[in-house]
Amino acid sequence: MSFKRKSLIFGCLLVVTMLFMSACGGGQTGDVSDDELGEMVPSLVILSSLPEANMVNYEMAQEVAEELQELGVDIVAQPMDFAVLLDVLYGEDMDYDAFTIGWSGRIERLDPDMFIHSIFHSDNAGVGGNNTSRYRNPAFDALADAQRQEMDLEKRREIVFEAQEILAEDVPLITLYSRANMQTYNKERFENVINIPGEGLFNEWTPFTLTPLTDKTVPVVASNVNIDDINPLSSKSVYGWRNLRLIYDKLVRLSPEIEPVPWAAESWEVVADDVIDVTLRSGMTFHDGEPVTVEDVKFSYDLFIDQNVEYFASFLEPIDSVEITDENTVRFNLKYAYAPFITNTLAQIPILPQHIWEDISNPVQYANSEAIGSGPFKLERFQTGEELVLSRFDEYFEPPIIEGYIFQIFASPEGVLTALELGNVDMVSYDLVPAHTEQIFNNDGGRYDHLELTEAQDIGFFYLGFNIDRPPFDNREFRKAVAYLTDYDLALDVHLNGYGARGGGGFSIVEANEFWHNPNVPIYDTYDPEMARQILEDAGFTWDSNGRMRMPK
Amino acid sequence: MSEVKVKKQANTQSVFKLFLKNVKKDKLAMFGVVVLIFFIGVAIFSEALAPHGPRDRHYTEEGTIKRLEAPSLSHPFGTTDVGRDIFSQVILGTKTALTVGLLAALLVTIVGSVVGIISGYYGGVVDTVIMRVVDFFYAIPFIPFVIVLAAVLKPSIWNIILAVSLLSWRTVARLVRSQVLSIAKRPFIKAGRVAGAGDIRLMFKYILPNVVPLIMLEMAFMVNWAIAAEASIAFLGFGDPNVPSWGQILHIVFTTGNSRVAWWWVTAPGMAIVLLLLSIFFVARALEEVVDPRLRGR
Amino acid sequence: MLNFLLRRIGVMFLMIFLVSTMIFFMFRLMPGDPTAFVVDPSIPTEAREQLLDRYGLNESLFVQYQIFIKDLVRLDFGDSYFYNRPAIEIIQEKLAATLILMIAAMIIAYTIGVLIGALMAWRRGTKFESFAITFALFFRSAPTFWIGLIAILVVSVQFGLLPAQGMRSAGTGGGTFSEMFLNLDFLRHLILPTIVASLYFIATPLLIMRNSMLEVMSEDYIEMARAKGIKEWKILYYHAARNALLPVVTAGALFIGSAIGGQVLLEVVFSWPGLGREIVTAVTRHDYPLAQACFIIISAVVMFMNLVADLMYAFLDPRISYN
Repeated sequence: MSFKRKSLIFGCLLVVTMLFMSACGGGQTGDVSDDELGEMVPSLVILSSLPEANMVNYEMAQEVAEELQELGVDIVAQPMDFAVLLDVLYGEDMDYDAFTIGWSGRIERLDPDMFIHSIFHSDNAGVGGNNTSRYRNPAFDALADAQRQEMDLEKRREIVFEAQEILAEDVPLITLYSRANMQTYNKERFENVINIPGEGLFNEWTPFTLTPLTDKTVPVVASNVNIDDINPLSSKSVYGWRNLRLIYDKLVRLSPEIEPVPWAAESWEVVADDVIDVTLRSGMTFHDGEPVTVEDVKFSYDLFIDQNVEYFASFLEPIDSVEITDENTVRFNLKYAYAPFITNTLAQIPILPQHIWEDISNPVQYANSEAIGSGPFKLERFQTGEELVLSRFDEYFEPPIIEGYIFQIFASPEGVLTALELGNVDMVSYDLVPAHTEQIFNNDGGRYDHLELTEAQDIGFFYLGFNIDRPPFDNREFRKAVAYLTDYDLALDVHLNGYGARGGGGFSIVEANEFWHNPNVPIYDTYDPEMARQILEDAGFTWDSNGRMRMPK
Repeated sequence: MSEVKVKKQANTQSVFKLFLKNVKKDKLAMFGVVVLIFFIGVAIFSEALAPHGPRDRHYTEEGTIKRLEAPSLSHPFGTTDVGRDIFSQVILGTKTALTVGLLAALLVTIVGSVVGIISGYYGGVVDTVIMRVVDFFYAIPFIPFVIVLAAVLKPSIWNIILAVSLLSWRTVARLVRSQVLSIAKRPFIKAGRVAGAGDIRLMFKYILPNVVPLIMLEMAFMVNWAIAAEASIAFLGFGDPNVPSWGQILHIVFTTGNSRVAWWWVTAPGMAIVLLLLSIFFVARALEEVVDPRLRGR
Repeated sequence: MLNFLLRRIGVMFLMIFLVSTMIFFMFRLMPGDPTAFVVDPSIPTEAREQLLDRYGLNESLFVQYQIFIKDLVRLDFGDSYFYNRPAIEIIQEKLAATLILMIAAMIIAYTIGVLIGALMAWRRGTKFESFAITFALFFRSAPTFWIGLIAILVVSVQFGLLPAQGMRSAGTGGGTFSEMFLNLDFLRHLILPTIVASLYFIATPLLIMRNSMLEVMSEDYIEMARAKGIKEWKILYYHAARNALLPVVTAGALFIGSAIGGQVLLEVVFSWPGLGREIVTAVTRHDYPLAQACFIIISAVVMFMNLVADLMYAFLDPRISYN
C-alpha cells in the first residue's frame, strides 16, 4: 500500500515538473500571449516513395520532416506506394501538402519545354496536370509560352534562362539531387561505346559503334527492368522503346551531342513556322524486303494519331495533318508553331510497314510477335520476362558492327552484378546502384578488372514538391526556408556516395543540360538551419509558448 | 462431477511437469528454452538495450560518415551504408519479431481453437459449414495473399499480423477439431452431460483443457510461421518501412546492393531469425512429446 | 469412392470461384491508379482516361465483375496491362518454371528426408539424431531468401561453380518445351535453387518419417522380425519404413500446396522466371489481370494438391472409407 502511495506522489511530481519545464523551454516569445499570435502552422505530411522504390527520396523526406519538427512544425513523412502517390498528386482531391518524387531524364527532355512549360505553367496546375506544385505566376507563364514559339535557338535560350531565374526565386519545388548515370561494360570484349547524358551506354548510337575485341560478336546487355511488349503502338516502357527504336527506324535521330540529324529522312525543311517538309532517304527496305516509302511514313504518323497512342500523345498533339507532296517528300502541317517538333516528334515516331499494319483490325492489341521494321536490327525472339534477341539487318544503309545483341532481363541489380563479374553480361543498360558503382570502382581483388565504369550526368532530377495552394507552402519565404533546411550534401555524398549532382531551390534544368542550364541558378542551395530560422522570423513567423510555429499575422 | 474436475487438473499439471522433465532431459530443448528467454528479455528491454536510434547516422571524429564499417566495439554488428548501427536495429527488430509472432499466434490459436471445438463438438451441419470455410482458406496461397493484402491496406506490421491470422487459424481449427472428435466420445464428457452441464460449459470446461497441450504446440509453430512470414514480406518490400524489423534490415541490404561487401549486415539479422525460430522449434519438440505420448522415449 | 471424388471436385470448383471473387474485389479495393506504371505520369489526363476505358476500369464494379466471371469460365483472365498479351499466355510459361523447380526440390527433399528420418528413429537418442534434427530445423528456421543469398555469394560468386541467376544462359531460350527445359544448361541453372529449396523442405519429411517410424517400431511385428534374427537394416527399410511412409506421403502433397506460394522468395533471389516472381511484380505494377491470373492458378494448384493428399490417404490407408 505504501509503495503504491509513494509512486503516486512521485508520478504527480514528475508530471508537474515536466509541465513546468516545457512551459519554460518554449517561452521564446516572452510575454506575448499565444492568442495574439498568428494561426498555428497546420499539421503537415510529406508523401514519399517507399524505400525500395527510391531510397534517397525516402530518406530525404524523413530528413526534411525532422528539420521542420525541430522548428516547431507538426510534420511527418509518410512513405507510400508509387501508384498511390501518383493517384494523390494527379487525383481530383489534390489533398496533399508536400511530396518527394522525380522526373526521369529521358532524352527528349533535354528540350526545355518539359521542364519549363509542362511542370510549371499555370495551365497545367489543374487536376491531372504535371504542375503538381500548383505553381502559378503570370510573369513566368508569359516566358514559358514565349519559349515554345521562339524558333530562334539563341533567343529561345535567353527566354529559358530568364524563366529559370524566376523559378529559383520563387522556389516552387526543391531539387534534392540528380543522379549520375553510372554504368559499366566489359572492356576486354568490346570497345567504342558512346555515353549520352540521360541515356547512358545503351542508347541509339552504341549499337552502331560497338566493336568486338574477341570472337564474341553478340553482346549481352543486362537490364533489371522488364520490357513490356514489342508492339510500337502499345509498348509503354522506357526499355521497351530503347529496343524498339533499333528495330523500327525514325526520320530523325538525335546525335550523341543531342543535335537532330536526318536519318531515315534525307533532309527536312522548315517551310514556315508551322509547316515542315521531310524528304525520305531512298533505297531503304523493311526486314521482309519491302521498300520503305513515303506512304509508310504518312501511314505511321496517321496511325499513331488515330490510335491516340498514350506514350507519344504530347508529341503528336501539335500535328494538324500529314500529306504526301511528292514521291519522296512528306509535309507536316502543324496546328501552331512548335519548337520541339524536329527534336521530339520526328525523332520519336517509328516508321511502320503499311503492308503489315493496314490489315490489322485492332493494332493496339496486336501481339506483333514477328516485328518487322526497317531499323538496324531484326527481331529474332522475345521471351517475356527473360530476353529479347536481335540480329543485325545487313541491308541497312549504315549496318552496325556487332552481329546482334541479347537484351537480358534480371530480377534484381544484385543478379546483374554477379553476371557482370562472371562475364555473362557485357554491358548494363540502367544506372548501377551507388553501392555497386563503389564495388566496381574499388575492384577488390581485381575481380572487376575487365569492367570499365562510365559516367554521364542525368538530366532528370528528384525533388521535394509543395502544394502551393495550401498554407504554409503558399508562403514563398517558408519555401525558401525549407530550401535552407534541405541537406543537399547529405543526399549527394552520403546517400548517393557522391555519384550525382547537387540540388537546390526551384531548379529544374540541371547543369548536365549544358545548353539550356542557366549558370546563375539555383540561388538557395545551402543547408543552413539558422538561416532558415532567420528567414522565417523576418517573414513574420512566430513561436508560441509550446514552441509551435505560428503563421505570420 | 467433482471427480471429473480433479482429473482435469491433474491433466493440465502433469502436462507442464512432463514438459519440464523433457526439457531437463533433452539438451536441445534446454538450449531452446534458454535462447527463447534471452530473446524475450531483449525484446522487453529493447528500447533500453539499443545504444542508438535505428535511423541515427554515425560519424567518425574527422566528420566522415562511418560507411559500412565491420563490427567493432562501438558497433558490435557493424554499420550500414549510411552509417547506421546494425546492432541497435537488430535489438529493436527483436521486439517487432516477437510482437508479430506472439500476437498473430495468439489470434490464430484463439480463433482456431474456438472454431475447432465448436465444429468438433456439434458436428453435423455446423461442422460441414465450418469445414467448407476451412477448405476455402486452405485454397488461398499464403505469401501471394499477404502481398496482395499488404498492397490493398497500408504496409504496416498490424496488417501482417492480420494477414497471418486470417490464413492460419484454419490449420489449428482442423487439428483441434479432430482431437475434439475423439475426446467428445470419452466417458467423462457423457458424465458431465448427465450431471447437467450445458454446451458452453462442456466445450470450455471439459473439452478445452484436454486440447490445451495440442493448442500450445500449434501456437509455438504459429509463432514461427508468423515471424518467418513477417521477415519474408518485409524482404519482398511489402513491410512497414518505419518499423525496424529483421526482414526490413535484410531488404535494405539487398536493395541497396551491399549484400556481398557487408557480411555483417547480412549475417546479424539472418542469424537472429534462425536462432529465435530454432529455439522455438526445440521448445515445441519438447511439447510435442507431451502431446503425443507415443514419441516419448522408452 | 467415385462419389467422393466427384463431390470433392465439385467443391474444388466452388472454391476456385470463391477465391477468384475474393481476389477480384481485393484488387479493386487496392488504392492507386493502375495506369501509373503503364504510362509515364507526364502523359495528358485524356490519355490516362482512354487507357482506363480500354482496361474496362471505368465500368461499374458489378459490370466488371460480371465480365471477369464470364471470361474466367472460358479460362480467359484478360490481357495483362503491362505485357499487352493474354495473361494466360504469360502464365503458361511461368507455371512450368515454378513447377519444375518445386518438384525437383520436393523429390530431393523427400528421398533424402525419408531415408534419414527412418535412420533417425532407428538410432533414437544418439548424437546422429540430435545432429540431424538440428540440421533440419536450422534450415527450416532460416529464411529461404537468406540461405539463397548466401548460397549465391559462396557457390556462384566466390567459387564460380554454378550459375546464380535465371533459368538459362543468355540467348539459349526459345524453341519447344524439350529444347527449353531438357538440356544441360537448364539443369546447371536448376541445381542451386533446387538445393536451397530442398534444404528448406527437408524438415517435413524427415521429422514426420521419424515420428511415424517410432510408432511403427513399437508394433509387434517388428519385435517378431527382430526375434527371428533378420538383419537390422533389412527390418528398417523392408518392414518398418514401408509402413511408416503413409503419413509422409500425405503430408507431402499437402506441403506442396503450401510451398508453391512460398517459392516467391526463391524466385526473386534467383531471378527465376516463375509464377511467384510474376505475382510480386504484377501486384506492384497494379497489373490486375495478370496478378489475378497468377493468384487463381497458384490457388488451383494448392487445391489440386489438397485433393491429391486426400485421395492418397484414402488409397493408401485401408481403414478409411469414403462411402
